[in-house]
Amino acid sequence: MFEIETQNLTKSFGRLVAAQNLNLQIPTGTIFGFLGPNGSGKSTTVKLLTGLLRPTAGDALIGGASILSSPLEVKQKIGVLPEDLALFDSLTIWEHLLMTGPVYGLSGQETKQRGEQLLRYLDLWSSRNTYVDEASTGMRKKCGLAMALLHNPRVLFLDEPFEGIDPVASRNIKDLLLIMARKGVTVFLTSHILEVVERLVESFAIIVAGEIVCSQTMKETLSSGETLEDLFFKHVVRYKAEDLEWIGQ
Amino acid sequence: MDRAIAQHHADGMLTLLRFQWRAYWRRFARGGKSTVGNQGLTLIIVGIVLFRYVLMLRHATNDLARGKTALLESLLAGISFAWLFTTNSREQSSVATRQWLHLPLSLKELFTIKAISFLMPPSAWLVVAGSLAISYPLAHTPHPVVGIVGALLFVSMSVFVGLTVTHLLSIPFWRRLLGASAVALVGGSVVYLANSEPGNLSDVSAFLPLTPMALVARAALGQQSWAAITLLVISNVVSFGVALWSFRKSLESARASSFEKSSHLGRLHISGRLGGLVAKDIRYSWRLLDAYLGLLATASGCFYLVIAPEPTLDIFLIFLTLLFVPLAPLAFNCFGLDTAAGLDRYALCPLSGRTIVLSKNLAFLSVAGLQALPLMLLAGWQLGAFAAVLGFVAFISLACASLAWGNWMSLSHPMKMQFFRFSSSSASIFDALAGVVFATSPGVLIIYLVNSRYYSPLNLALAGLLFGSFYFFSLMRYGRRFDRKRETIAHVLG
Repeated sequence: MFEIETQNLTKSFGRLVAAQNLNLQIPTGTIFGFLGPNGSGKSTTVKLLTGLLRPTAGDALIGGASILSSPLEVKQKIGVLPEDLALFDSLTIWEHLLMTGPVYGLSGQETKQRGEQLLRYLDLWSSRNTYVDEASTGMRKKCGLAMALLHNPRVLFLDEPFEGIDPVASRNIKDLLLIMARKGVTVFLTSHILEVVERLVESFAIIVAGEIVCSQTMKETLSSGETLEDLFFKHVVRYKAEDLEWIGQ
Repeated sequence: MDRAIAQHHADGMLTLLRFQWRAYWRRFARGGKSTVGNQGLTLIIVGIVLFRYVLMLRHATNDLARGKTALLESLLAGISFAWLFTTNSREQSSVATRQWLHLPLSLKELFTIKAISFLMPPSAWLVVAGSLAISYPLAHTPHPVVGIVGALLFVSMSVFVGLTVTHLLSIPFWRRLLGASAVALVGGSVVYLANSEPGNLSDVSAFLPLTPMALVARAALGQQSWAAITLLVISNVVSFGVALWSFRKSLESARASSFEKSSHLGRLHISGRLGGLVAKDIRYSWRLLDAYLGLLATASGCFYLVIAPEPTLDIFLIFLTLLFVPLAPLAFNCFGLDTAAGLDRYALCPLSGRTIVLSKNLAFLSVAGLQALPLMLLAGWQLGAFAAVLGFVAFISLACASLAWGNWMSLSHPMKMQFFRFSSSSASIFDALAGVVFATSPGVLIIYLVNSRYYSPLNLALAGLLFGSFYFFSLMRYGRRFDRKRETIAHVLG
């Protein structure tokens, strides 16, 4: 049973093809890593799968529901930590949670209870009354993550969840994701931190210039004697620092 | 060496201003419409005002020849108000000054950049032109040079006062203090005027020769010219110092982290699935200065109902209708206070476009209802229960009409609005004016019905039903369109 399944998913912005004929099949209860350099189409893919962008062609099924024909059903099932965090200015972290819970059908009491547990787990409880536009990047990210988890989604989309997060929270998030996956939650995450991805995900895909250039399981990678980093740099062009001769002179 | 450093700093400032200018104009090209940022509408309104102003300059010239200064002083007060509006209408710069704090620029340099940034929109050029045009009547006075110098000093002081108010409004403490002062001033004036005999107004007029406008007139007419100019120079120095001080305070306020603030939304609890979203929008609405003009309309209406010897139903309905004019931007640009990221959050929620628009409409209804409530209660007390019921029907009809038009405009002509600034919709002049006419038409219709032979409870109910159905149609149609328009709105807000 595939929890996330894309069928020739394509997104173009004028002449620029940000995602081209993406075909992914991610089984239920899997942590899936989506890797690629900046501007390769990772966040665009997350936006397509979560309804933030409408595909130019193709479709995707999340938990069996189409993102095109049943967008509300899909949104009820998923939790998302988007690239821009999608937070409102001038609301506190706690207010964001109070606002989100009822939208997903949680009662006020349940929202407060879950919200407090999540914020304590993410070490954000003492800062809950900070306005998000005055909070640090890490705090904003944790707030977005708590909002994504609040309604206990079956599928979790996390765009760069470890960027700007302190080591303790980062470890907590990793532990939580592993527990969630064991309980059948499917996690789709993008990250630039290859070491973290290597230890966390069961399968991954590398996207370059809108096309998937590699898709395999971690077991396959490790059995071939390669690291994820080796595989990544096989597909991504890298320039040498020595070319910048003027730096430091 | 010092000269080289000064030159380096000046070059840095010019570069920033050049890119600020480029970014300002590029937003029109990126928005794809000349109406983005409301400049078209503002330009036309300012143009009309300027035309009328030029005509009044002639009258002022004739009055000054006869030694009458009242019109000149009124025009100067208008200039001062125009500058206050120009500096406070919205954040003109593309980049907030605090985002440049890491650059090697002094406070005065940052202040200069900010002050010049306010002059970038074409509407500001018209205000500059209007300010300089005041020289025309002054050029025909016995002391033209001194008079023009006085006027220029007055204009620069107005700019500094406008900037000061802008800076202070960005600081929570000062914002509250200014708000409380404004309420106290208006309240005090109302109480004073209500309790004083016409003759007692001479107490107030005793201070009038010391107003900056009167000083300019005195300088031009040669009545202790140099004393007047000296006072204006001192006022300029003081207002510049205060503007610079308030600028520094506003930057410090922006830098200060405000951990452990009280949770306002937590206190404002609205149950239901949309409760959180509605509460958020109510709070946002109170951060737009236009909402406070609505309060002013309510206060005036309440004042009328309390002090008028025989208050009438028609005047009460007029005040109720007028309330919806300053509130129009809230209905006509309901996504204007959100950000692109906020729009993304709406898209991530399992809510249809219709539900999202409905949550915005409920917030507007709450804000308008809160403002209209004292008016309707007082009407019930002074004019009887019938007036209160009629007021309620009129209120619902007015809200429905505002939202029916507003849902269309919010999706068709969105624009970014700033907290603690005045704002309006970015539609064409026709759309905006037609919107205000349509939004206030239920009030006019009900006043007409009440005073005509067509009056009957059934006709009143039909009128309410008519505007209710307009709103229902608008919600259905434009709610469905939100899903398609969301990316465009997010682009404008971004």
